[in-house]
Amino acid sequence: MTGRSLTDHDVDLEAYALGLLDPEEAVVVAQHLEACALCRYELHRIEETLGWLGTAVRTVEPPPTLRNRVLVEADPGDRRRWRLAWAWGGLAAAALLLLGVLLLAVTRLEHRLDEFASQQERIAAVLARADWSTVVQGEGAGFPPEVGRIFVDRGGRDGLLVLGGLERPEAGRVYQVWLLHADGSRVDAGGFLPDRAGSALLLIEAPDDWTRYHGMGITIEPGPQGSTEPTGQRVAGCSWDWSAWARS
Amino acid sequence: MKGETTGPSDLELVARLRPRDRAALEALYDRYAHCVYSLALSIVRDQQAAEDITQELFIHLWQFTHLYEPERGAFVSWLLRSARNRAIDILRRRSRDYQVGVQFDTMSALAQDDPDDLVLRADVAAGLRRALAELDSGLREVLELAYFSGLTQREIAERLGLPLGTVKTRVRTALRRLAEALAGDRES
Repeated sequence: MTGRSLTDHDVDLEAYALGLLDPEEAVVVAQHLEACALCRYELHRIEETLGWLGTAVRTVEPPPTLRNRVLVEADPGDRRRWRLAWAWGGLAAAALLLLGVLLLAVTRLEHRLDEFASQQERIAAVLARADWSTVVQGEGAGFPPEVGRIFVDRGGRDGLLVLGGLERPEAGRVYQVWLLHADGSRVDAGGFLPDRAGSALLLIEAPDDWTRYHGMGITIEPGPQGSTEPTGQRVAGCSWDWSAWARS
Repeated sequence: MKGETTGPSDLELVARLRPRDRAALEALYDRYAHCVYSLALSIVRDQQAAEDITQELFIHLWQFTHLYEPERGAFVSWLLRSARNRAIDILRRRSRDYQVGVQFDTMSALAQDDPDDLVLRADVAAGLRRALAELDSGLREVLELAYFSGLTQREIAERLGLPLGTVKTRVRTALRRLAEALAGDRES
């Protein structure tokens, strides 16, 4: 196939793959891709072209010391260390909290324009890189069965949470997102309030690679800062199984 | 590609990463580190950042070997796409420290007698460079900004004084022509 032939599939896949779209446009493309195998195929073709484009640059040799640094970091003992890290997931989560490596940004109309523009670029970039998504299910009383979708780049730490149909929590309380480790420990991924339409678009930079987490939950917590660990009822969430995916 | 002519294929090497075969990692590094580093350096224009990107990418591959899905294309393509994503991220986090004026290199031949260049699937890469060289300057200028600069389509349009629709059309047209050239090379 050398070009798209169906006009109703005429979404801007090239700009999407390059991360050039505004977030609203990128969301539309991402949703279309969820349902359209033809465009997913076409996107793969475009992505491969973009990859090959990376060969068309002037070749510069990396410093010889870099090779050794890579190989030292990939020491054979690292797998055992990773296993230990999994076994002591709670400690790892606590350490991550101490490190405070967390970024959460909520796109809201009242943001200053420059922040908004920067945010838009990041959202578009995250969507462009996202290669996996799943439905976020409503679990609390009064919530719809599906409240949105999370898009993640399985090779990185960025994710985008697109939510809708959320009631505004009572005064003084906020929604808070938690990333779940396999052992059930949780990492704070930030709090938010939906807009008047009940929607929220959240850019999440996970403290660690997405492959370290097995799910996500949303609770209602005291605002505006939220809690250091979940105290309220879980109202929405999802889970996933990377090991099953890795075997597939 | 070197892997197919002088040793195990990329796919074989990637498969050997799963049982933690360090020799496979070394082989993949030796094949592609200069490609990753060169691309990252072209985008971030910062040697330390390019080294970091290269190191992080190979370590990530080592830790999560399943991230590469062969059905989605050649390994080198996936690797370089990942490198570009990381480099563009760094650009955008540097408070819009955009890089303009970076151009694709369509002149350097992937000579068969150059051991380094043998690591690339020379026919595909050469075909791509030919297709790039054949793009008219308007298409190529927009594509270079889209690929290297970290600018959005709107910012590209403003910078070049072109309507947004024109920028979109040029990006799409340029990439389609390159994709068709790649497909043609594989069929021939």
